[in-house]
Amino acid sequence: MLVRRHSERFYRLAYRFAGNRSEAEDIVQEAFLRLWERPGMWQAEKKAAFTTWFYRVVTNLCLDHRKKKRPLQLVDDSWIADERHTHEEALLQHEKEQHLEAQIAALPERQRVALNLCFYEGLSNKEAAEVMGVRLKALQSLLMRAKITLKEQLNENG
Amino acid sequence: MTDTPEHDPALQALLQRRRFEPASPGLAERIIAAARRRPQIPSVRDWLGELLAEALQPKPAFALAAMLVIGFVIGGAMPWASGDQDNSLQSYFESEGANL
Repeated sequence: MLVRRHSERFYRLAYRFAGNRSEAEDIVQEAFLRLWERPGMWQAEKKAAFTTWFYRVVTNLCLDHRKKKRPLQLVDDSWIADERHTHEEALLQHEKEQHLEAQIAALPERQRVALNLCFYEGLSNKEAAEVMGVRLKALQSLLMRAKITLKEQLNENG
Repeated sequence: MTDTPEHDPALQALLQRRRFEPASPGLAERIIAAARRRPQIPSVRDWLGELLAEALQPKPAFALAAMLVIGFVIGGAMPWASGDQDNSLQSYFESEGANL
């Protein structure tokens, strides 16, 4: 029940860190299996809502996964089969996507986590701060710095 | 609309274009199937709770074991049931026989 309800949501987060489907699915599976093996894990932290607590579990797994496996595999080659674009357009689109991924991947870890949680997962700043275990002001600062860095880098590179 | 990074429409639009692949349709089923193959590890608190719950059950085996223990305790505490008493009784008959 829990898996069916939440697997898509946590897959989205894992995908933002892993950059490809199979690794993101493996991370989500591992997170749920850890919970299955030790159901008391969550009860030990009853103060937090399940989703908040599980966002923290998945985020930590993603960061561990990335530390173990460098460099980050940004995208696979499925763009080639995209028939909506001509080959040239698809190539251009692919380059843009890779460039954006590279810029986000180059952000400091905490800024990247803040960006993924707030911008891509739609968590409120308060929720994201709770997931990351930081104060609200610190979270806002991380988000702002991430966006400033991205804007500068993307402007520099056109 | 201000032009700070927080509200920069160009940056927002660019970030929205980030690539995303949806999950495989059977992701939840795959996780459930993997969970069925893995045993659960109970926490120490759960394990102790189960142990106490078992111990508090008046099951026949538990009752029989308790009766045996009580029997041994009572038997050991009774002087007439000890081996020494048997020996002294035997020696009594022996001495009585000698007298007769």
